[in-house]
Parts: sequence; C-alpha cells; structure tokens
Amino acid sequence: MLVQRKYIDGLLTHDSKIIESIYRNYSHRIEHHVVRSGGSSEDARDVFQDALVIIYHKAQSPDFQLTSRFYTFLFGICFRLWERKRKKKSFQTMTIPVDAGYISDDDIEEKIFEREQYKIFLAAFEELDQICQQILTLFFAEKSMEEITQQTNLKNAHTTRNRKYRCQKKLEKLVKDDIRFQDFYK
Amino acid sequence: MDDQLIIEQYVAGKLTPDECAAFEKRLAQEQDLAESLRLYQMTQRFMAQREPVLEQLLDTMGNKYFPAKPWYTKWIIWAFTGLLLLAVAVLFIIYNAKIPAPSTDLPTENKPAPSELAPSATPRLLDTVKTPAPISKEPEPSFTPSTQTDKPPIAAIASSVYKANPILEGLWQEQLRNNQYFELLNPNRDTILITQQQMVIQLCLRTTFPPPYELRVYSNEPSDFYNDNRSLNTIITEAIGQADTFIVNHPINLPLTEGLYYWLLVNKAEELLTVGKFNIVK
Repeated sequence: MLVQRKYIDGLLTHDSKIIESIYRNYSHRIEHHVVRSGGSSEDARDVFQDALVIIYHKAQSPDFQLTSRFYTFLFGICFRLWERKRKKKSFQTMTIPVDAGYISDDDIEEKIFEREQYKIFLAAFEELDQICQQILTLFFAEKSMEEITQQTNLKNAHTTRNRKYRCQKKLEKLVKDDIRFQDFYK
Repeated sequence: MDDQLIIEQYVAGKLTPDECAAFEKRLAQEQDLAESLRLYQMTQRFMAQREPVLEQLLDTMGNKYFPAKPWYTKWIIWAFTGLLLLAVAVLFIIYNAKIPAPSTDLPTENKPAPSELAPSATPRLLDTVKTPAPISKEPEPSFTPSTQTDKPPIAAIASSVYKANPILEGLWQEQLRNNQYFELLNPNRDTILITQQQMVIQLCLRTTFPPPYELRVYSNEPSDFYNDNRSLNTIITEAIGQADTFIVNHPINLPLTEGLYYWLLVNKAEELLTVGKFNIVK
C-alpha cells in the first residue's frame, strides 16, 4: 500500500517523476477502455487528466484514505467520467439540481460535477485578457485593491475596482453563454 | 453600496446581522440578485480550485502519453476497413463461382449399401428437394390435351401452356447450372416427342454407382410427384463403362398422352442421379 500511497503523495507535491510514472503505467489501460467503448485518444486524455485532478482534490482532504489499489481508484473515477462524457456525446441530457451546491451522497460524483463546472469556468477565464486574469486571480487570493492596483500598474484603487467588476461580469457572461453550462442548469 | 459589493461582503461574512437579513430578504424576491450571488460563489470556487502548476504538468504528460493523432487517422481506418470488406466480398463471389453447390445427392464411396429398388421411393426423393430454384418462365408449346386415366387431361391443368411442376422444374434448372456429374445427350431440353414414339435415353453419368438405375417419369402435375404417381417406370439394367463413368443408352417406349413430362434417374440407394424433361405431341 506504500507504493500505492506514493502516487497520491506525488500528486499532492506535483512530483513530475511520480506523475509521469502514473501516466506511464496506467494511461494505455485507460485509453484502451475509452477507445474500445467508442471514444478517442483525446477523450482518454481528458478523462485521465480530470481523474488525476479529482484525486488530487480528494487527497487534500485530511480524512482521505486510499482503501484500494491506486489503479482501481483511478479506473473507477475514469470510468464514471467517461460514462458521463459518453452520455453527453450521445445527446442524453442529465438532470443536475439547480443549486450550485450539488448535494450528493456520493463524493466522487460531486467531485466530477465540480470538475465539469471548473472546466467551463476555465474556458471562459482563458478567454479573458491578461489584465483581467491577473486582477481576478489577485482579488480571489484576497489581495486588497491597493495591492492589486500596485501589481497591475492601474491608476488607482477606484479604477481597479471598476475594472475588476467589468472583468467579473465578462467572465460570468462567457460562462452563461457556454452551451455546457446551459445544459447543466436548464 | 452597490449590489456587487454587498454580494462580496455577504460571502465574506462581513455584513452586520441586520444587513445580512435585509440582503437575504432581497435574495428571496430578486431573481437577478440570486443569480449574481450564485455566479459569484461559483467563480470563487473556480478560483480556489485553480492549480496552474499541476494542470500544466498534466498537460505536458498528456501530450506525451496521449499523442494527438492526425485528423485523417479515422478516415484511413474506415477506408482500410472498407477495402477489407470489399476484398472479402470479392473472394466470396469468386469462391462461390468456382465451387458450385451440389444439386442432388450424388453417390460417393461412403454411401449406404444399395437396397432393392422400391416403388415407393418418392419420399426419399422429396427429402433431397430442399429449395427449388426459380422456375423458368420458358413457355411450353401448346398441345391439345387428352386423357390418360380417369384424371382430367394434363394440358387442361393450364389453359394454353403446360404449367411447370415447381419442384421438378427447380431440380432441372439447378441441374442445368451444375452439370459436371453427367452429360445428357438425349433427350435434350428442347426435345419434343411424338406419342407412342420410342425415346432413347442417352447420357453419360459420372458416378461410382453402377446400374441398375430406375427411370421414373412424372407428369407436370405436382400431386403426381408428391403421390409418387408415375406415368412411366422402367429399370435400366445395362450401362457401358466402369469405375466412375457409365454411359446409358436405353430406348424406352412412351405410351403417354400429350403433355409435359419430367424424368428422374435414381440409383439403387434411392438417390437422384439426374433429372430431365420432355414434351409429347400427337
């Protein structure tokens, strides 16, 4: 189990060698499963990466315990991710509670949902210009308006606040316009 | 205080209890405000989840271990599969063209021991008839019917053209397509005989079964074949040849009325060797 735990620790510490060993040992097995069930290598890549991020977030919880082999855990998450993706590809709509809190008794399902939501926001965030990205990053890192002004070379705190407001509204609009987001909340 | 600032302070827990109660009251009434709060909370969660270093690392590994395939890869696979299927289809057609399906039970070395020729051989023959080939629409000459027994005249079954017996016609057609086991010299497919004329059956059989053979003649009426009601029955005891080739040269009288007839040559094991047909006119 120590060997299995090393993968978790490697993810938590962003250890490139251990993360590479995860890819080297397991990527082809996940790819085989995804491709065999009608997906592409690109689908497999997304599923694999999302699963590792989900494991990373779960492992950050202090009460997290790996109760199975790492691959079993990884495969379980990949399997659920791929099933959801495949359902969406075949135009089957899913019903998700309107509440963004998404209450589920299955923690993994919740993490998968969060990951999908995260990717919608990430796509929108990457469409913002550099200054907007910087302002929002600093703002949500709880930096004061003065610090943000200083780091972004804007005129003053008032200008920064206005700019931050516009950036945030733009991000929200991009998210709301994303068809995946509309699918979630329709 | 603008709504955005209130939302930020509400989420940060910086509103006084009164301000908080007033805000929550507005939330219940104003849908747009509730939507803004929800999006703000989602944005906050997104920003908290961001792990640019990890994502970058995973992107690099993904590129290495899931290399992008060219867009035309799928087309190549489909094209290859299509060609493969085409090749299989062509091979199948060639194979079927070279190896014809057996038309009837032809004798082999392992056939059961010959038994005495029984007059009630038809059920066995019927067993050999599986799916009749399509019936030729070749019109038979119009003949004037006459009676043979107490049955109605054969030609009366069809008003102007004799109807083919579907089973025997099917066998005959199949035999025409697959005739490597015999060579029929007489009567050929166009033979028209005069009633009471003598007919000579001339054929070369490639079979390991020596004579005797039984020649059975049936009218075109299906029930005659089903009921084994033969118009003529004769045993051919002599044939020239040996081993696997026998030449039959057998004259028979035809005490038959006008009509369309089918003849079947059967060996002692009740197996159909060949089938033919002829017409009789006055």
